Amino acid sequence: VRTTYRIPASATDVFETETIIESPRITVPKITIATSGDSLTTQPADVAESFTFSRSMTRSFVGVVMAVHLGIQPLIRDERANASWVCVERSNETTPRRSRDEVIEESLRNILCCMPAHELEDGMTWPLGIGLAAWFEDFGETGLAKLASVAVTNKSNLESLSHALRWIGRIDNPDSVQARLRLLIGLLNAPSGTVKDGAALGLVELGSPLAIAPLENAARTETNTSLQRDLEQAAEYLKQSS
Amino acid sequence: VPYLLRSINKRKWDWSAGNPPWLIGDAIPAAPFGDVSPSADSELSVWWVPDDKSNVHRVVTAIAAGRQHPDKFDYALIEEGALRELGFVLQQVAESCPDPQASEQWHHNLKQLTADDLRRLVDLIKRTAELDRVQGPQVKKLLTAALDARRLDETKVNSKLLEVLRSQPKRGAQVTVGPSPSVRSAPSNRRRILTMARASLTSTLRACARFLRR
Repeated sequence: VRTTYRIPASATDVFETETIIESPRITVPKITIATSGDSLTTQPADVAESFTFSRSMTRSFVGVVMAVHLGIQPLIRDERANASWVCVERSNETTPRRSRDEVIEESLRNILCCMPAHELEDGMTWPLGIGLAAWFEDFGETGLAKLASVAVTNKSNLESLSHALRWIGRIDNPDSVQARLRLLIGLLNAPSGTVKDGAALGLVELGSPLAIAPLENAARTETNTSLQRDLEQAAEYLKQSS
Repeated sequence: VPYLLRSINKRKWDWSAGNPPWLIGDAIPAAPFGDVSPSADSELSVWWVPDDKSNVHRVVTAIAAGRQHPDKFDYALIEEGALRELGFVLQQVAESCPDPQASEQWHHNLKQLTADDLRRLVDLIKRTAELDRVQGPQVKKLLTAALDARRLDETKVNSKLLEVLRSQPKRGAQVTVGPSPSVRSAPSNRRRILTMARASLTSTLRACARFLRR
């Protein structure tokens, strides 16, 4: 015996938004539940006989709360309560599932490209800093490893990377000082002078005396005299301030 | 010898013969021209600095106060005499700036600039100018000190910068400022509490979701 229930629109609002899966570029088309003349109700939906109305409401409510709190799609996907999730899952079947690594790299690229190259000036990269701080909070040390590989392989705008490394030094997160220090010291050997300089500036912002010796070593091996002077100056500054 | 100070990005002036490899002979790469980009009236802003360079930090502070956040400050000190010898027209004129006194005393414009002038200027800076840097935390200290001494007109200081400098618990202290007022920039005790509360709320919601899925 199949039972028909009328589900109030307020309970299904959460499913009527555009659903973005893992990346802003992969957008599942908006799924709209056809409404009857009365805007407050949806089309009657068939559900299994064992599924009670109150339980459906509870699940939808939790879904709404989670969506509001987390800002992401609700974790509850009850195909019986709302047929639209079946459509979402089916439309995703053709999309190859991306690894976490790819997600981190793509989000990093999006942040590094968030400002046009001609706007990248000293002291004017606030949007980049905000994006990078939020990205770092999401991905932590795994993200730092990805940032290192992007910086070493020159896969991004070098000036943008230089500013990003300064922001890495500025982030106020005492728990991650060691990881950030390792990243910045490692990048003192990057092939690009701009990236090396960014790493040195990040170390100055970080303010750790542990960076003095690596900065001095990097200065000794540097062939570009102007950059060599900057690396020495960074080491000197850290000596004085410690 | 007095100088004229121009804000630059030192990495744009790193070129030499054969570096980058595509640079042939005594050609000048385009990058440094970004640092001498004139106004719509073909004028270029420079600041006069005496022989003893006593006002460099004051000028750096005045320029940095127009930025969004403290960052390193690179500058070139060009000999005034060399500029005049090359026929550059220099005029003292105050500009709108957070440090009006400094602007009145030391701000100048190079006037009636042509494309050839810019090339000669880039060449002159590369050959003779002193390129130097003030580190980011030092710029922050200078800005804080200038605000404390009321040398800066706060209505002309960049509002974001003002927010960053005011968010310090005590002016002049060595504090790293997070990029946005959030859990990250909260004092450590409060940050720990906020992080714990958020983590417990998230885990509770996840547990609820798992339970309901079952």
